Formats: sequence, structure tokens, C-alpha cells
Amino acid sequence: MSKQDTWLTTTATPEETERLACVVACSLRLPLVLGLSGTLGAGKTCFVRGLAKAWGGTGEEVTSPTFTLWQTYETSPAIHHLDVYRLLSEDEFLELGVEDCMDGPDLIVVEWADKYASVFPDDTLWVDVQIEESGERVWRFRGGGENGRMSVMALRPD
Amino acid sequence: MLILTLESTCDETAAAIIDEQRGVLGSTVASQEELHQKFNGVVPEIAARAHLERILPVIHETLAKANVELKDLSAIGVATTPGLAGSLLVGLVAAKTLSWLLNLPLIAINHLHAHVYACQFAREETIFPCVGFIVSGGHSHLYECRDPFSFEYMGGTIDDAAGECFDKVASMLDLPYPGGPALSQLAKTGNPKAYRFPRPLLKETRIAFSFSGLKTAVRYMIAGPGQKEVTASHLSPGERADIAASFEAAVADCLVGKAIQAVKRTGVPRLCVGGGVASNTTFRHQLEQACESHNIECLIAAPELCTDNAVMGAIALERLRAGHVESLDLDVRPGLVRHSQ
Repeated sequence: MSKQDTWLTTTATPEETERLACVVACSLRLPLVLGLSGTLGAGKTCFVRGLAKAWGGTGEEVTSPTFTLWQTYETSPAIHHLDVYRLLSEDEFLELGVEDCMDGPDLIVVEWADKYASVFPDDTLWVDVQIEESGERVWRFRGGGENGRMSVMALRPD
Repeated sequence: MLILTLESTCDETAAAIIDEQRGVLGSTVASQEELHQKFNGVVPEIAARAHLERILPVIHETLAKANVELKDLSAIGVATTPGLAGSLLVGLVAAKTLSWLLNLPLIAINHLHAHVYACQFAREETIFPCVGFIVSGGHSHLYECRDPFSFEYMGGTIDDAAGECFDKVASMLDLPYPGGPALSQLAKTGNPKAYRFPRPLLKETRIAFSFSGLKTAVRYMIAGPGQKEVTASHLSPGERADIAASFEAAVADCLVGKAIQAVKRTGVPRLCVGGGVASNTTFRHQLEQACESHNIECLIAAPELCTDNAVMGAIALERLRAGHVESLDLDVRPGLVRHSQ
């Protein structure tokens, strides 16, 4: 992994998190899986709302999929929003049928993705968010595979 | 008229047999103990494959409980929306097969409408018109329900559902997952006024819930910002109970406040509540009190009908009577449709 594969930024409010997601939405190269990780309440679902808004959604369709496991938003391109928080094994994750979508034209976003990182495809953009002492959120982007790396390069200002 | 209803939208595989006159003759939910034993204690919670393994034993068990044979049935009802595509398909394929084989009408059930309809078992007369309120792990929605076929979405959560928020706060307090019931238990010994947590959107006129910010407020109370892992090990048992009670009070205030707001907006003086969180005693009690002081008839589904089950699929009888029968082309609709159809 070279330095060019990663990018780091911070947001201070939910609105800033949504704006960051809008910027990210414009930089993504599909097919791609977006693997989200980070502490509870850091703003993962808020980030997905920003993606949906950037792609023609109202944002209101985006809610937490912790219980429903899988929600699809008819944005353009469409977003499959999954959450593996309450799944117990890789098998349970794979049995949702997500592999069938992985090479498709839609974006797959998985919350708590680090739990089952080994089953993700090469083309994955890993996004980790942590809450700082100040309450600010630090977002770390790391691109895997050709599309993941290209997506991060498009994000980096240099 | 005797109907078999099937439910496989998410975690539970369930079947029920309901007679128009005599009510529920048999009901099985696959998380029940006897079925655990049949599978040697191993019942995978979520996968569609688990539904596949369970659906036939569940149907057989229900028929046996009801002392009914397949040939006695007059219709098959099945939940087709919302839920997981793979899980929904298992129920639908079973229902279609029975419908074709026995030449019986096939009825589509909306899982969320069925949750509201669970309240029909608590009332002699029809529950319609009413405001329907579904509060569960995955949903926190208010509907204006004019009749069994028209549910108009009034509003719901814009981020986390109430039950999910319960489970996540429980995890911050080191309670075992699923933590909702454990958190309520802990809250009983705490002071609900010890901490003042936010009541998001409560003062606003829009019908909506937001529990994400409340979750973060509790997190900061427990650990403060900047902590990667949240643990409550540094708190005394009393402090933990106070946090649980104060949090539960904040959620209950939001749910009750918005429900009353919604009922007032429609002018229909009846509220029908279903979903897993509706079995929470603090919430039930507070809602009943608030409804009484506002002259609203409050119907809350019986605790065993709050969590996912097939008995609430009795709403299919209403569709059958009205002639809303589906063809074998019927498909599942996994996503949530917020507005009535």
C-alpha cells in the first residue's frame, strides 16, 4: 500500500459529513464496494445519506439498515446499503446474496465492513471514521484494487 | 373460511391458521423452543437458507396444532413486503406452490400493515379508521389507516429505528445483544430524571423521529468523545441504571409525543400500536396514560403479537373478502414503500 492509496480528512458536523459524502460520490469509480467502519454513532449512516443525495435521492430514503440488513435506494446509480452489525458469521453475510451484486453497476455500501473484510472484493474503498476528543470526525479512505485506488486518487487534492 | 398465513420477511419463519369465525387455530414462530430441538438447537438466525429449512416444518406444525388438513383451507396469505429479498422469496414460493396445488386464492400481505392489524385481536369492532404505529428494531412508522387497504405514510424515523437505538445503547452499557429487553430491565432500578438526554424533533410539527443524535448523546455521557471503544465498566451499577432509565424515558417521550401529534392531525381518535418495542412496559404505560388524557382509544398488540408472527397476517382475510386476490405472477417487494399504493 502506497501513500497515494489513502486520504484523510475531518468533519465537524453532520452537515459537513453529508457534504464530504457528496464529494466522495463524485470521485467513485464503479464497480466498487464501499466498506464503512468506525465507532457507533460516528456518522456512517449520515455519510450514506450524503451519497444518496449526491445521486439524486432525497436523503429521506436512507435509514439505518442494522435490522433490515439490506436496503436499496433507487438513486442513479442505485445504492445497496447493508449493515453486518448483527450478523454472526461470514456465511450469514454471503448468504444475503451480496456477491451477485458486487460486479454490477450499483454501489454497494456495507456498514461494519471490517468484521468480514476477508470476503470483500479487491475493488473496495475502505472508509473508517473515528470520533476525536474534540467531537470532530476523522475519515480515513483507503483504496483497494484498481477502482478503489482510482477513487482515492480522485479524492486527494494533490 | 380458513386461511393459512406465512411470514418470512426477516429473522422469523412463521405460519398461522386463522378461521374467520373462530379466530386463531394454530400459530408457530420458528424461534420457538420445540423447533430449536428439532434442529438440535441450531437455528441460524437470518439466512434465507434457514427459512428454507424451517418453512415446511413450521407449516406442518401449524396444521397439526390447528388440527387442520391442507384440503380444509380456503386461501393462502403470504407477507411479500418489506423484507429481505431472499427471505421473502422462501415464503412466497411456498405460498404459490400451495395455492397452485390446492387451487386456492393467493393473498399478498404487507408486513407493516399486518403489525398494525395485530391490534384487531384486541377489539370486537373494526379498528379502522385509526392511526397505525409500528415501533420495532427496523421500523418506527406512523400511518393514517382509513381501512384495511389504505395506509398513508405520515412519517417515521429519519435515521435509526427506536428498537435499534435500544440495542446499541445496551451494547454501550455492556449488556448482551440483543440488549433492548436487558436495558429495560436495568432501567427499572434507575432514575429516569438523573440525566437530561435530548428529545430530538419532539417540539417540531413534522411527523418524524431521529434517534441517532440521542444515541451519540448517551455515548458521550458514558465515554466522552475520542474513545474508540465504549465501555461502561468505569460506571457504578447505579449510574448505569440511571443512564438506562433516562435514555428509555427520552425514547418514550419522543414516541409518545409524536404518536399523539399524529393522531391529533388526522382527527381519528384511535391509535393502534405494534412491533417489538410495543412490548416495552414503560412505553406501553406512558402511551396509555397520554392517550387517556387526550381522549384517544389506545390499542396495543398483545406482547406475543408485537414481535414478528403470522397471526397478524389475518389482515389477508380482509383482502380475501374484498376480492384482492393475486395471480401466480406475484413478486416480492423487498424495499419499504413509504406511500400507500
